[in-house]
Amino acid sequence: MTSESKIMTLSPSKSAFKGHDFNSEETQILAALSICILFFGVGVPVWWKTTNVYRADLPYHEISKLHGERQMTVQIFVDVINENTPVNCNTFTKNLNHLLNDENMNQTSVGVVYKVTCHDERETAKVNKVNHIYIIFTNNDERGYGLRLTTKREVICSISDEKSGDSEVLELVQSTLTSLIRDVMVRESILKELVSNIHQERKDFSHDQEMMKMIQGNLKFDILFSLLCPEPNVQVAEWNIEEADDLYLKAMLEKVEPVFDFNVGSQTLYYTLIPYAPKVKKDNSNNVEYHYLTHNQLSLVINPIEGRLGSQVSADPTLNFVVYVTEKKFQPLYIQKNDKNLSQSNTFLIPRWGALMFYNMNDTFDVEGNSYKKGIVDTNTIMKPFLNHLRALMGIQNPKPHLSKLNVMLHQLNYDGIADWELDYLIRLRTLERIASATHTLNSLYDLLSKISNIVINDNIAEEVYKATETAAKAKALLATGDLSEALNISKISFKSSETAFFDPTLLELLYFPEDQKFAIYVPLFLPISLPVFVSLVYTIRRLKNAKKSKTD
Amino acid sequence: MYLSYKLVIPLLFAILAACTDEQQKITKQVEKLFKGGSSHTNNWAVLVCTSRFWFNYRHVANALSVYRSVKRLGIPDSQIILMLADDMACNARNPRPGKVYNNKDETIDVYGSDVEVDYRGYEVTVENFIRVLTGRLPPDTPRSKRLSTDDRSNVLVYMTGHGGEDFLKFQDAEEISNVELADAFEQMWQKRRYHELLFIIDTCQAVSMYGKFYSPNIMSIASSQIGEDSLSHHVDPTIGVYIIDRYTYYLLEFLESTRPGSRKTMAQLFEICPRHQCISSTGVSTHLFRRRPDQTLVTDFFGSVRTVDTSDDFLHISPKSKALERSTDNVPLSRGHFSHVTQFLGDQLDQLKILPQPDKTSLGSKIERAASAAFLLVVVMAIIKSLIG
Repeated sequence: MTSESKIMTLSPSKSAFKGHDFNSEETQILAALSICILFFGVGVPVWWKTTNVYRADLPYHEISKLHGERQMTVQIFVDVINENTPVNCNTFTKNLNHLLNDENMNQTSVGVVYKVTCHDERETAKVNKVNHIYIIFTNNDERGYGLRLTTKREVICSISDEKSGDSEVLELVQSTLTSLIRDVMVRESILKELVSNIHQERKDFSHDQEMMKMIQGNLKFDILFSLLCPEPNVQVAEWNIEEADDLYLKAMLEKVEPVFDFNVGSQTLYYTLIPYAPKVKKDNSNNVEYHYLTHNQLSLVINPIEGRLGSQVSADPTLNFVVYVTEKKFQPLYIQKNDKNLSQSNTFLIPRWGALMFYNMNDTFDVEGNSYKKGIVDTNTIMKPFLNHLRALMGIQNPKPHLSKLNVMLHQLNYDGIADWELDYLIRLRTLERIASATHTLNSLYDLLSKISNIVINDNIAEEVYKATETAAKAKALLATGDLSEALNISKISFKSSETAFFDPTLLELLYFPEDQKFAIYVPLFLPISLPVFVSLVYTIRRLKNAKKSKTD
Repeated sequence: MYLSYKLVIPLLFAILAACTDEQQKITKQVEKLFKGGSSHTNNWAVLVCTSRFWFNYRHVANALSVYRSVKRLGIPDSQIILMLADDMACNARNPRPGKVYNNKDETIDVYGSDVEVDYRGYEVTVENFIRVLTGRLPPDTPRSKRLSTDDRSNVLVYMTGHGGEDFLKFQDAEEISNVELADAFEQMWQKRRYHELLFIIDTCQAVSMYGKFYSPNIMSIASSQIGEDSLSHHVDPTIGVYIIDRYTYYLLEFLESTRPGSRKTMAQLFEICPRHQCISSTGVSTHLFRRRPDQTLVTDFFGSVRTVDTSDDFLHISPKSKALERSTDNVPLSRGHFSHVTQFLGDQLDQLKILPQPDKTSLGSKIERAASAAFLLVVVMAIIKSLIG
């Protein structure tokens, strides 16, 4: 087509719309209306839809319900077993039930419900099930009565025939058992404090020191044993840590495997010095008796060596157990506690970090031809305090002071280092912690997403959130019925999913698109177009009105 | 009657005092197991310098000076996140390569030989900064680049650079607004990623940056008010640019006289850099902070004073007996997750003697001397030749 004909085709008189007047009012009204319809009916929705932040569906209702009903109930089974004593099992059970379940459940973050039942023989009750506490009455000829707490889940009450008829004695036994169960074995107050702390509603601070020591809710931890020899040219040490791990640690870690997954490693470091200045204790004739470090000095001991320990190599949090072979010039080095006595174990615990021990080498022997002394670190000496520290870090408190107040004897621990009832307590503690943490995380996520509308929610995050919500509700229900092991497994899934969802790297605010700056972005695009459209719309409406008026005239 | 009143009431008070005294003694004993009144267990620092280019030397010097002080007072590198453009030390214009000074007297090299910059160059972006604070980093991020704090960590956040009202400029390319920063801190609080937070900012119009904070336990210090500029301290004639900012200069002066176990309080820190020295007036915000500034130690944020527990009421745990072990002989010794590493291999340990001094007449030095002699000879001959020819 030539340009001439092109021009000719554009002229109205020769075009296909021959006879049609483009400047007529009707055409103009129609044009304005159709552009408006296109603009508002098609353009704006398309723009809105395409610039919308993608948000996958989330169970908002379930999350707020979970948070609203965040009080948890734990059910514990108490079995009273009477082995041939004249004690009336049923009355005792009824009274004990009354004493244990007498608290007001409304205000607490965790409500503990005890189901006390009576059995006649040990066999029918199937002793040592998880989440059960067994109170066993046996005959005793020697003393009046005595209570013993075993390393299984049993409290053995040996009572003589004459005392078993005495109601005062029985009442005393009941109240002791109530305190024993509620304050030592189950430790209701710390369960409540932990959960209310997670929900940031804490009022009770009496267990603050203990909670500060405890490691947080992670599922996996690394345990790192480090042997530090600061002057290997003078004295060097070795240790058989693998054997020690096998003899001492392996059993304990296997026992707590359902709760925590620990990986153990060890290393030896040379020339890693602690730049400290221990004080000197001199005896009467001004000879040096020993060196010691005060409590204040201990606070600064860890910092210089922390960088060398290499504990940041793995992705999981690490618990460090360090054995520091004291320098020859400072031997023997002791730790002075706050009450001015010397520490028996020569170790100290750093909350959530681990423990350090100052090891004074005694048995060193000259190695032929070399000027330094070589010694073997006695793993007995180091593992005992370290295992106790590990218990404290996991959350298990030593019950000795409570028990001596109540006049209950405690059986010595087995080689696995944890009593069965302590394991129950740990499972309960960590299950509650994980469910509460998942609930709180999900609620924070909900708050965050409703407050900041600029965050994209992908499908994988939605999946994790759904999984976390469902499993949290399920674990809560299982706890209330008393199925502790299953509740623990499911709470782990819930915790992991909620953490994955909250810390997903894509959950970042779309920076540079804040709400108040959206105007500045879109107004220059839309205003030049919408202004003439809007004005012509106004004119169109006016003309239509005039046309109507002229028609009716 | 009257006399008996005079006796009864003091007696009552004395009894009451004795009772509460006993209670207090017990709580004090329990408290003394741990140190300090803060109940934090570890310290972290996030130090951010948001400028690049040679003429912003002073911002890098600011951040590095605070880094050095914080390290000196005990926080280990693994708990410091340092974000710098890091283009000063090896800049072509630096007359002392590899060194960064914060004073024209060049007394302290704040770069040092053990500086550990976690985010350098173009990694210092608003996105990375927010990711570090909120913890939303990609899973392959190394531990040294993560802020792995918990609900017992005290965090120090120090920012320096060019700022304006309600924003802070990052590397001349982007900005972070005070709303975004406040939201980031709130997300940290929601997940309990700090126990207490100290926010120090040394930029122009710095007070605006902390104006929107709403999360608890945050204390903020800013070097200038809205509408004021934060000025630099002095010019270093050797490099031709300003070498440090006023507020950080006086902050450093304060910190240099602080030792790790110091009892100086935050109230004393608020006094530094008054108007006649700094020209701009500092701003302080403590309404979100739980404790009083005169009861908060400087080392609660700048140092790393760990709480320790020396109690040793231990339970006795006996080892697994050898008899039991024999029965599990066929089971491998460790669970397969056990790994032991020595720093040196066992036999190499016996060779940890003092190595002999290098022989002064060794072959290497002989060749060296021969080569330098030859070179001198060539030069002399060239000179003679030019004199003749």
